[in-house]
Amino acid sequence: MADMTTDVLIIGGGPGGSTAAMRLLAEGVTPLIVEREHFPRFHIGEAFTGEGGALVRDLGFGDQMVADGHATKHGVRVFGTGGTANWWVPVMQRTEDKELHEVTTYQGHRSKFDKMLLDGATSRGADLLNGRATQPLMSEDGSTVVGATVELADGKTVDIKAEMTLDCSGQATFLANRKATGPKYLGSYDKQIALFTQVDNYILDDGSDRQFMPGNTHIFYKEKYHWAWAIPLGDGTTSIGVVVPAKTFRDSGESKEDFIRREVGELNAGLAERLPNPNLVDQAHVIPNYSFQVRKFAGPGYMCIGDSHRFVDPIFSFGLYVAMKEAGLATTEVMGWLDGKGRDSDNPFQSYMLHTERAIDMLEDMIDTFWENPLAFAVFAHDKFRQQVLDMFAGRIYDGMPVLDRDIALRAFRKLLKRERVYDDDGLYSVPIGSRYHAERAPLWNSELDSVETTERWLREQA
Amino acid sequence: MSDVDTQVRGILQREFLADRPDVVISAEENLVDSEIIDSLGIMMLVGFIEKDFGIEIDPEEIVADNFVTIAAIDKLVSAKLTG
Repeated sequence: MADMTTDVLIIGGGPGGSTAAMRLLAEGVTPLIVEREHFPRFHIGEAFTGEGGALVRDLGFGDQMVADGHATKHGVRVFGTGGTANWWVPVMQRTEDKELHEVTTYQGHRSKFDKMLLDGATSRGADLLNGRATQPLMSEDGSTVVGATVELADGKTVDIKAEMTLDCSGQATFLANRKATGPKYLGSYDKQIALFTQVDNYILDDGSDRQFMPGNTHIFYKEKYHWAWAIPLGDGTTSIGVVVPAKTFRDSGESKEDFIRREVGELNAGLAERLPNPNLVDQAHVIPNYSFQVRKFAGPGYMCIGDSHRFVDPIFSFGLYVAMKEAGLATTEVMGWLDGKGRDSDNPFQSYMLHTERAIDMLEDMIDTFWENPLAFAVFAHDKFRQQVLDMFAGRIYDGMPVLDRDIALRAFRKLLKRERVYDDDGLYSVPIGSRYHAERAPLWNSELDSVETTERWLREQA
Repeated sequence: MSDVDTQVRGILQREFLADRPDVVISAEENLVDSEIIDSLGIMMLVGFIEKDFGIEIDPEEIVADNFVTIAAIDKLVSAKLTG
């Protein structure tokens, strides 16, 4: 097959790739998306942050989300060990006047959501090629990514030349695994894992107050490293997950399904009450708590978006939002690049990297505080820094978004974690001192673990 | 019984035991195990203690061990009041 040419090549048709495509189309650029799978396909990550919901509406899909039957989420109810006392975390938007306003977001099946976005991108004019990117194409001097080789369904390959290649491949980390970026560091595998499945008989709330709306997430707490979630998916099914120390699961000797069934009955009275006889409508999955980070994830001719460069936690629901947000931020940079900006620089997207790293650092520090100091975190979130934690949970972590005194909360998190953040100019962004990304942890890097599936296999082999 | 001990008991009675006036708690009794408070209760208790005693508890001190018995709370609060 003859070579192809495009302005912007997008590797991966998930939410990051589809959003980037639609943003580029709005700027008059027609991108080419390469996606190896046929949608709809299963993908984990069903929950949306508040600002994530706003992005979906901004892309013009608000009505379709409702029509497609996704759940409308007003917030999260957290149940204490007693199962009755609970704490309400509403989804709130902060407007430019710094006031908080009630707002809703969504949760639902990613298979349906991702297909909606990809269909949206193609119906607005993006080209879609079914195939698998195998290698980036480099300029003769090796300095610039100039496209990718793609293997098509029939086994033939095609070289696609592009002014800009956007890596939206998610945890496959296409460019990083092929060393087109800086090194990829895998964080330590923390001790806790999440086992999850879907049921069709979780008893949803049905009150009229927004605390008791049927689309809300419920969190049931037992103790540090041991809790559960219930996320309604809008079609009568509910995602049920149990977070436990890996040892607890291994020592049980139970199958994943049996383990979940028993935990649902024992973990928290509030959960047992809402799900007396769990009817599983999906197999059970397990993911370890892991993280990774790619250095120099944007450079001449390429930018990485979302999970393709950084992943901080599989259990909190930020992945979808971060990918869609970064897709928008990258589009601005891509337009400049296509106009000829930064072509002589060996680090043309420094500000994009710094901006996105700073934002994810906030999430990482907040989530680490939750894991390491759950009680202190609860006191912060409930009382001392309620507004700041609401801002961060909603996703107001990027420059230019209205927030209230966020730095005070961040300083408290970092003091508790004994962590500093250093940002330097050599592409070594966000080096947290005393944390999980020290260079000496590089041996932990294992490029075989490039997806949830392989990570799951790794976990089984360790068990 | 110290003044702090008495005041902590007052807080527990007022905030968590309003409908259980007959519960007797020993200083060393685990408040969570005895179902006086649950995990969210500890979280709220931190706020009540700060307010009632007019002290600030450092984030590093907000760990369950410091709040799980009246004796532990007494020790933490007394050190702050005299320190």
